[in-house]
Amino acid sequence: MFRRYPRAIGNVVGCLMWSLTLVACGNPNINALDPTNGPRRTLVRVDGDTVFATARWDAGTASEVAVPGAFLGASMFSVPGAAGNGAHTVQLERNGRRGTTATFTVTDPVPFGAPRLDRVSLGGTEFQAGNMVSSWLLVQGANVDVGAEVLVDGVVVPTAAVKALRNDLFGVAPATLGNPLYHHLALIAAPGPRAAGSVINVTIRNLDGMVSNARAYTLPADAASLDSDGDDIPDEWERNGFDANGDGTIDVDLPALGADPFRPDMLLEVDIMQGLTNPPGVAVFQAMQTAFAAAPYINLASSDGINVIIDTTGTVPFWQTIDMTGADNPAGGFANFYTLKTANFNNANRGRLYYYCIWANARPNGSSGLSDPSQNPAGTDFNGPGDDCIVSFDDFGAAFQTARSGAETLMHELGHDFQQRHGGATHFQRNPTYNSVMSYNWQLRSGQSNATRVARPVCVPFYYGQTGAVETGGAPPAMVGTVIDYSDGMGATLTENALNEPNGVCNNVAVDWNGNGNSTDAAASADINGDGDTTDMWTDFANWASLVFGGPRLNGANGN
Amino acid sequence: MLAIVRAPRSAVHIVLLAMSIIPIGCRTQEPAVRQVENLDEVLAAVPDAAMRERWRTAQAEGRLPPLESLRLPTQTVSLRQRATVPATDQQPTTVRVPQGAVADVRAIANPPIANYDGTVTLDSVDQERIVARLPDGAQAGRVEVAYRLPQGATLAPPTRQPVSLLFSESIASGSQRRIVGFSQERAPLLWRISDGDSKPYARTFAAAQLSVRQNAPGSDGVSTVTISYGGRSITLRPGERNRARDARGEIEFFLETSYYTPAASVELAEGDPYHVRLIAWRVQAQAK
Repeated sequence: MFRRYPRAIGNVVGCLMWSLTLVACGNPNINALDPTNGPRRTLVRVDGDTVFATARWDAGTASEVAVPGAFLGASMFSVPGAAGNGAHTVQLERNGRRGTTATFTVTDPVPFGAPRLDRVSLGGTEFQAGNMVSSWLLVQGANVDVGAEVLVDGVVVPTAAVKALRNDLFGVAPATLGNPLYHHLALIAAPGPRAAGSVINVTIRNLDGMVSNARAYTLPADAASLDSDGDDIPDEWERNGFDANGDGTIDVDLPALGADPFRPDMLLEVDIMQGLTNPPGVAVFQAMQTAFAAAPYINLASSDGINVIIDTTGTVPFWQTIDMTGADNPAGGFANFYTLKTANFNNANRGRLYYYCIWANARPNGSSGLSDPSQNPAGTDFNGPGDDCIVSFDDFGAAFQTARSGAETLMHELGHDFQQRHGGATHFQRNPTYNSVMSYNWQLRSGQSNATRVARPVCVPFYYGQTGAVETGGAPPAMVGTVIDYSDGMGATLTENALNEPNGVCNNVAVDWNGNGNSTDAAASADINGDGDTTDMWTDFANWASLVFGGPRLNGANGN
Repeated sequence: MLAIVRAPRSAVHIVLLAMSIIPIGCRTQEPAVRQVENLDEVLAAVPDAAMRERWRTAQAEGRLPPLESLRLPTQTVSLRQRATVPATDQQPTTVRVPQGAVADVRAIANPPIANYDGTVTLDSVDQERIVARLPDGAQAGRVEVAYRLPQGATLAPPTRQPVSLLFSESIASGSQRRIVGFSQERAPLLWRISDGDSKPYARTFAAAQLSVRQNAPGSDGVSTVTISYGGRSITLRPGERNRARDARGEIEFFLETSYYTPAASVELAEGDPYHVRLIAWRVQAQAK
């Protein structure tokens, strides 16, 4: 059974226009290259008549070569790894006809490691006889060359580049990062018919031969469970709605809510406690939604990122403190989160789909929030994704009563629900090189004192999203916003017994690691996590590539 | 190498086709989504012979999923725009206790301070709010405190003796640690701690002759807190109140919560693994 998707009328018009247009088109001209200069391997967008065209590098010279482009034409290419510094001519060719030229200037090389495979999803799927399935794989990674190959179980399969997201390093020198990422690129790959529900092993090989990490991917077992975008919501529900009890009535109209089978969706209910002195404003939720929409998730024909469908219309009664464990104690003003969830959340209809959070007054330990993966009874690590969270800083000081702190905290707790830790690979709460709202160095940073900011360094341009940003004496740059983001895993490695103070965390923004009053020591030691030794090594962690969907299916780590 | 124009499937499509022909020149505006029509389209920008051959072989052997199931974007390259929240928030300038609070003490300092330990002048005191003025100097300013005592309890008015304030506010381990302690003659007047540690909480406040010690949970899983004041110890469960007598009258204590994390779960803790929320106040003497 081939599942043909309904076409929008606009698509039909588009296809017709596009097809007919080609009849009238002549030489494939380049209007502009973007960027016009950069190091080898730069991903270049070609603005021009790129359809069905091939890009020629060093066009018109003895060293001219055709460089790989994208699906359907030369809308992008990677600057050849062997290109020399200086100006190079680029030209498009189609059916032997050539258009205008453009110049790209190659600059000094930058560190460029192996490609990183971040995500595998599906672009289209056909279930065939004999329990077989044939899918278009959408294989996405960082620093992937246009022209890279996808290998499935070690064998190269038909591959073509389709869509790219360039990365903004905010002026941070790549050499000061551990894993500078210049772009994300999605490839379409056709592994051929496979047994439905079987597991394939996927890697990417760049043009220089370097191979990415491997990812195991489970092919869809049947049409009913087909989940093209990997958000743990079957396509069928995203297309036709969710019937929770199988009575033939749609209980959650996912299409009406904007769900898309080819773009990950997260459904979230936030019930806001009545009577708070600092209830969240719309800006909090908009910022969080924008952060997820800006995720480096490339979706084929949909908007990129993750779509957060949020319902903030519900409320819960006021309780002084709430938590996920402990018995209700009205005399102490304490309620168990699950008492409130049971009374206020439609678990029957929404439990399979929704994450549920309460925006509360406070927790008994004064923390700004909590999510259910932290309640793992085993106590050693998260044992799965979660679906519940508490945001609880209504009684924090005035400096924290901002949209920034609200969005950071909500995203932090949801990050735990996606099985993300405080320290990246570890639970250490203040990993300086972890450029993530999951780190306590990031979350609530803007409300902290200058002294605290000095003591908890971060890669400042990434935190503020501004080239050249610094915190002089811990003071934030004036009138600069803060970035709400999970980490993409670019940070430098920090070794406690070999810290270079002038290098700092990134971009040579000096840090006084050993607290001796200067930040000039090239080989300082510091016990960053306070565990009594200086033997630890701290690395960044790619949250976005590691999000684990499925908390609502499990009803969270606690089964609630 | 031309794409095939699909025959319109309805009258609507015919109209749309007619409309679409009118503006055609050399394309400047691309549709939002394309659907792939044939393999040549795919291979247009694949110069590598081996890869082209893989595609052609896969198609010849029927190993490609239907091409028309692919819907492709025309905007193939974009810049990742991170979400930013502006630094122009309006922060609160006053403080109040929520209507439903059992008991609470909140404070705001203007200008903001992280710590203060010294004498203050009380500008106003009532049963909801205390406004204290810090002495002139580096930390000159005002601390406004909103409070509510449990079950309508009332605070004894301060005497004419000097009033001291111990104030600290910080975020540590993701938890807010706040101490607002007014004292007179080394005894609590209004004393509130919401304070934590990485080990079971135990702290002495010399200014009020007060010590607070958190106890490990008993068989019922409840962590109690023992308060020592004026030579007497009181152990409270969360939600309990009790009094201690001194030379000037009585001090009442209310334990709101005692948060105690099992050792095995400390690594995963969100916020302080150990934290106590406690209020103490001088009881208004009963009229005789």
